Amino acid sequence: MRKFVISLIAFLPALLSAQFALAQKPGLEVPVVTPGPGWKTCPRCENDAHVAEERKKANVDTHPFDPHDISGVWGDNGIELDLKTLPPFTPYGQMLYDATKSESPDWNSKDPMNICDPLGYPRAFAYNYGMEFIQLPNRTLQFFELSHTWRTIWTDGRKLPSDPPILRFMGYSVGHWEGETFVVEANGFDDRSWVSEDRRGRRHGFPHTSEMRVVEHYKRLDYGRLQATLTVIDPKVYTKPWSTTGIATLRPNAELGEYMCVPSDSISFNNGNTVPADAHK
Amino acid sequence: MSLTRMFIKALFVMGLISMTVPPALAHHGTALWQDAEVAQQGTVVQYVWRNPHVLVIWSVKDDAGKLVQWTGELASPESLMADGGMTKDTLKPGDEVIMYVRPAKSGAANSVIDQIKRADGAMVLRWSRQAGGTEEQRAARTRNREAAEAAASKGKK
Repeated sequence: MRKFVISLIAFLPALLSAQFALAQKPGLEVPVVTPGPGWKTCPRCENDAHVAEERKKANVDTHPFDPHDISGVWGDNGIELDLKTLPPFTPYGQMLYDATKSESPDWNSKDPMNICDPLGYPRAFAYNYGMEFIQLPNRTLQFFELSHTWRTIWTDGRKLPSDPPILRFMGYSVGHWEGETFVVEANGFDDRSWVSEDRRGRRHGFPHTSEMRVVEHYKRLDYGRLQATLTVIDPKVYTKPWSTTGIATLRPNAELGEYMCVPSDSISFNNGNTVPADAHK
Repeated sequence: MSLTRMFIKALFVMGLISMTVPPALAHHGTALWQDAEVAQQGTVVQYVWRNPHVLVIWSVKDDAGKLVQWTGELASPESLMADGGMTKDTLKPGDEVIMYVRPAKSGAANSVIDQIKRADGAMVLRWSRQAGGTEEQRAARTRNREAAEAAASKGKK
């Protein structure tokens, strides 16, 4: 009996939190909103139950696939950068990180996103509302729903520029296949963007310099799953390369919508509800 | 230790565990808002169906009978489609609603919206990702809301 109670005690938190989650979160009772017949919903417009249902209908686990075809609309949850593998900052990196600290403990007032400055790469991937790969003969396009922007990955054999004439928020990108893995290398990044917001406390962003390089490996594990490993290499800021591995899931019944970041709307939102709510202003 | 005491202790620890689970955060996090939720019956003045976050502005009578305008934020339109099937037509100026909100810590008439009902009790948005909190904190808000509604309903009879 004592063992039974101990087991019960050990499992109760998990059982109860699962029960809360089931009781609270929206499910299939929520109608899927589409623009009309023939149109699909957007990746972010579906809840977890919708996604599970549509993936089941599309038989994503058993559907045949070509490992060299990564085209399609992939999950809305992005792959957040792995904080467990975050390397220590260099002294210069620490200084850049400290400079991103918000004035208020209650919101990320210095986030460039607040005024719709471009997210840049890799933040567009790590914080996304869904992305679509489109493969063309000489390039692969990566479209991002959040900010409604794209990146061109050239596959025609060209090399990365050794000294880019102008820095880009989305960088310069080239790709090639190594077996069944699509390898992307990128450089030439504008250093005004963040690698990512720091979700620990929401007061900082992870910085980078214009010397940052990003290397990605994409491998289609099956029809419904795309494994992505993204490595940030910026020795001026991070003492070691910073790698994140995650899986994006296919959204067989979704298509990208139009999430524009509109500066006037964002500023109006911040002034209308965020700034007046800040008790530390 | 008796089994009963052991069980009570476990429940207490469980409460602590559930309070320490990090909340699911929206873009700005939820540190701007008070933990305690309030309910307000009012009239929609404006429904701003736009990114980055949907805003609802409503008027409500304060204790002195004076109309006060409140602002509350929700998630993005896309997220609200997912969470409640909401669209640009869900609310319009003049709609009578009950807003369940976490008010701003600053004391201003600003808030994050946790639930929306029509004045007749019909649910408009049951679950708001923007309101944040752990599952237990959400469940506690729901329990408090239901208890307050039950008490109000009892008072009317």
